[in-house]
Amino acid sequence: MSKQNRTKLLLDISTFTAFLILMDPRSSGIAVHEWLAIALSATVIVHFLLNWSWIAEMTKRVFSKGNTLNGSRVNYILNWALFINGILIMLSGIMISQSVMPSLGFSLPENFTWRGLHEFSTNLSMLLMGLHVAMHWNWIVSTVKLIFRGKVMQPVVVVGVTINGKDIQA
Amino acid sequence: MKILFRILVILVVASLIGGAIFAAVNIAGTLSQRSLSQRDGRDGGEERDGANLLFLPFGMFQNLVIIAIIATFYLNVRTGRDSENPVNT
Repeated sequence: MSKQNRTKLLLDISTFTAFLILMDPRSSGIAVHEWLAIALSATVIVHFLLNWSWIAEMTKRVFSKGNTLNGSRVNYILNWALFINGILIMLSGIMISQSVMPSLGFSLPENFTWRGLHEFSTNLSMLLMGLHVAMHWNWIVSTVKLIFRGKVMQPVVVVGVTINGKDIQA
Repeated sequence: MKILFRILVILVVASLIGGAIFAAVNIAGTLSQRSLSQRDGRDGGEERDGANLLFLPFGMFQNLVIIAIIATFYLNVRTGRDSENPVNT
């Protein structure tokens, strides 16, 4: 399996774990919630960079005439929805920030419109993330299988003996 | 250089979308006069600053279950649809 696929999977698992932590700010605390969200946005950018060829290819194919990529088109639209929703989460989160923005010297007034949007978009992100995982489930399963298969088959035992001055390996 | 360009593209697209959302929310807030910025109190349902790490695994598991239910539901629907229309697969 390629090194890039392994990197992608590890990054995706880390991002998903961070996403699960972010979805529970009451347990993690607001400071962790906000700083982790900023770190997550960086990993999302790396996620885009690692999947850039797919994004570029799909953008071309979706907008080309006469294509029949129904499943891929749904996947593409879903990814855009997830991206836009992520921006909405980040923006509304910044606007209601209680830790990051004050520590950077910005004081924003309490705005309940942004708070409502933040809650709505985070709830929506659960749905979109579930669909995103489902759409890429085959890739996830096959990559995990390849990693574990590699682990099982990796220890190749090379037995070498020397008979009459010749090295023989089995 | 290519990676920097791609990062720039991502950030520009994100900024454009974020700017549009910001403008839309501000316009909607101005029109509906629902900005409650003068409120000095806070609702009881808000998050507090204190962390409760003991409950974090449970919260994460709960969210994982919700996502798993959504994903399973979608996969079942897709599997059922694909088995009905094997030509489209």
